[in-house]
Amino acid sequence: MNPSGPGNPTGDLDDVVHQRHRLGILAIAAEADRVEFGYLKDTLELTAGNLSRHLTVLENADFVDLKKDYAGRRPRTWVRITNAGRLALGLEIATLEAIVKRHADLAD
Amino acid sequence: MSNPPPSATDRDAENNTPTAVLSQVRALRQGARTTRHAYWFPLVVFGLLVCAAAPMYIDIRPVTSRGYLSSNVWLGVLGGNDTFGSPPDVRGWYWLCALVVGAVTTSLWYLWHARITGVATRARGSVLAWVLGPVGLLALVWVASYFLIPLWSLTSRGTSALLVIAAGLAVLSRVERSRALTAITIVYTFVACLSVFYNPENLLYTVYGWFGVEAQNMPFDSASIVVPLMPGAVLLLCGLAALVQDLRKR
Repeated sequence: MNPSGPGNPTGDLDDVVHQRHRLGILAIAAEADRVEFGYLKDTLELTAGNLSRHLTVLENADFVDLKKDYAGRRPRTWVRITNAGRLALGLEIATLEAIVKRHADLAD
Repeated sequence: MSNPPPSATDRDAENNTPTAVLSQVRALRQGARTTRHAYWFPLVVFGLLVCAAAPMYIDIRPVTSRGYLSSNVWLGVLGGNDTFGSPPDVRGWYWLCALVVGAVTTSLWYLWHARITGVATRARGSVLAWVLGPVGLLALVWVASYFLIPLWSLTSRGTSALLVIAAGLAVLSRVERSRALTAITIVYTFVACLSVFYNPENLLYTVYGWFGVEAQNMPFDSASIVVPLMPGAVLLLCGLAALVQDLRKR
């Protein structure tokens, strides 16, 4: 059986979500009502600039909403996953699981 | 001849396999969930508020003057109309204030916790359940009376607020996505149902009986404190256990 043949689930992978750090952002955001920029930066071990770029990509795809507020004088950015983001994350995880299953089936 | 150590490219390739990515996603979700969990606080607050109601269930009046109805239908739903403890209106006001205080402090707690940890839980649903629960109870009693369904056992003992607390906890366990909180909510709801629909004083008399206390020496006037103390103790003990667990994880 050809792994790259018809029915191969890799075709369902979305480039916006599949990037590892963006997948991490969506996975964390899906676990909470909203998550703060600093938490994402520390957990994913990214620089502020790098994280901002990934968030911009996700925001442009309507997968997250960004809101700013202040803790005292310090500005804070809160990230909230949208319904579209939740759907995209679910599809990505389902696709990855399908790939793992397909590889296991091919190995047998 | 030994194999050369894996290069950075090999390690990257290993980390990018679907199995590795799925496992990383699971770890990130688990970490965020653990950081987000903060349910020990509402358990402790409501545990204290429920236990603090205990003195209102001790009967200090002479037997001949016992037994009156609440003058207010709102307060009667929470305060009951039974023949023991403080006047139903006093209990009604207490439970109304306790529910609002518990809801407001829980709401503020989750806001503060989100600011400190950077991960927020949506506690709005449970706060609404605690604040609007009495309205729901009143509507339920009104609709039931319209269809001639007697619900006196729900409100007569002045313990219906325990079920409002359970409803809020059920909503909270859903948004917290915590199996532990779900289990605590189930246990608490069972104990609360005992206090609402059963006479838990009988359990106390049974225990006294095991220790050889004669029927005439049973504490009939004060035994009713077990009505709020049992569910209150469940909340308080589980809340403290959750706090200890939380401190260990940090």
